[in-house]
Amino acid sequence: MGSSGFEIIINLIKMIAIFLLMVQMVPILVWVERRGSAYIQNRFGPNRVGPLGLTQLLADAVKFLMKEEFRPPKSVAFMYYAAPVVALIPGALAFGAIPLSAPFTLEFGGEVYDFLFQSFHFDAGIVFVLAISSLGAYALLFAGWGSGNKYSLMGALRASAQMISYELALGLSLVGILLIYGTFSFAEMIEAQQGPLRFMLLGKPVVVDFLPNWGIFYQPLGFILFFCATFAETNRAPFDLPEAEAELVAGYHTEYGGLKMLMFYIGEYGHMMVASGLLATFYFGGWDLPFGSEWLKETVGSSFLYSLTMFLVFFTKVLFFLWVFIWVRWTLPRFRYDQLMDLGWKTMLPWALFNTVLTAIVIVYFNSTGGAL
Amino acid sequence: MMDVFMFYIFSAISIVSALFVLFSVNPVKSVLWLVSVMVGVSGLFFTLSAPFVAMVQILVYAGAVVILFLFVVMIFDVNHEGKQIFSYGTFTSGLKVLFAGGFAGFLVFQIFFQMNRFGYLIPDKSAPQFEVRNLSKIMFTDYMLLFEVLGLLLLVIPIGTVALSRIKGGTHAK
Repeated sequence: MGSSGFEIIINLIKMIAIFLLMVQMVPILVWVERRGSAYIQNRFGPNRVGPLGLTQLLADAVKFLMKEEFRPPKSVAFMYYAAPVVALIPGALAFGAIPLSAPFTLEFGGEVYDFLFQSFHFDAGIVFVLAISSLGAYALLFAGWGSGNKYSLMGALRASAQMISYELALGLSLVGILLIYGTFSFAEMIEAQQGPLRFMLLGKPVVVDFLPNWGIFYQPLGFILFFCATFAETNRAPFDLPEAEAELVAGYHTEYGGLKMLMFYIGEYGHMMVASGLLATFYFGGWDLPFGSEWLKETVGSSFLYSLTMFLVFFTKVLFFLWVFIWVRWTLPRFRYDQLMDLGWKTMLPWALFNTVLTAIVIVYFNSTGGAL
Repeated sequence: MMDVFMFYIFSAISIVSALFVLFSVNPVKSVLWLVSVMVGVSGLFFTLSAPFVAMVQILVYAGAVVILFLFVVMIFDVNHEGKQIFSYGTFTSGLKVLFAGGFAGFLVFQIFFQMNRFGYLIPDKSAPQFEVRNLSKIMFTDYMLLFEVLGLLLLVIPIGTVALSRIKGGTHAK
């Protein structure tokens, strides 16, 4: 936590602020989702309450709190009530481990303290985030089993099968980028992506001035595979078979309402934010601003203000990917179940393996390394 | 001091959950207690300053293997098939106790044998920070053969599964 009172207080504030950031993004994302889907489908969406319908969120919050609390008589009480909480935890924990901006220093009482712009730090942060996110399937299984409802159970079984299948493709698509940067630490990976595009090819350094040194230029195939697999891991359309309303009423959350339902939503949007953060960190340089970051650092002066500016840069990237998640959901139709499994096992897994082998061959035989010169 | 405290907490979690795995009659609950065992063991790896192994423990076991168990158990008709599997017949119970006892004896023997050979291994906190690079170096040089054999073993499992499902029926029967 820290060696002095000041350090401990700042670290606690950081933890709470980042958790609240994640939770408070949810109402805004719900609004964007409803207005965005209305825009895509040529409707109006919620536009009555407040400017642009923005205070609809407050009305919704009151509605969620005032709803009747109930439990189906045949449900398993512990699992039924535990499921929404379990849904919230993995997203919140994983989001806390992603660095949101440059580290900063603060001076207090004549001493200088270093802080990282994240809730907590792990050396093997990437493995931590993957491990914690993989626990998200338990929420769906708890809900499915605890509800005592056939539709819920079917949804939960589909969800677990889907998440395990796509976790393989997700993990393997990351191996390429891990090979290139040779680290499991987010900070080192972002560090390696700064500056103009430069790499070693056949023992000679190559520098491309007009492109940033981002992972997507080394791993385009890995990016596409990871991008698709995150959609499956967040259980959103076109991979939202666990809650396919045409077949399963609402899947695993059929029996939930009010605040419990909302917690599932917070979990889902939390997973989306983690996925967007990972996409930005692995393939788009994290909080790296491709041009003018040196100039910015000199102009802003204070390291805390610079850190906040870089946080805005990172968050812009995250917001872009969040919009893509919503955009795709309202554009593409849902897969059939066998198509989903074919895509996961027969298309994405072989391509991810191919990407891994190809990256290894390029690194070893062409004597080439990305990032480091 | 803190390490010892954490060790006792995580050991207690693992052992108590393991007992619940054994004594739950409902297989679904049994599997859910298994998750708790995995998390406890992962915590133990943390106290041994092996964060990578701890995370992989959660990723592979809690995140994939136990979910598969749960998946299979939920498809069962718990009231009928479940009772048959978790039966308390005299002969099968005797076999179970025999195998469990044999396995436990083997483990205890191994632990004592290794301790006599190496002594108590306590992680050196002053040693340089744990790095995945060192782990993979050991795995791909000193233990190359073992690593490859394990890979081959894992390859045999999916092939066997596909073969069995094709022969024995189900939706993919030939």
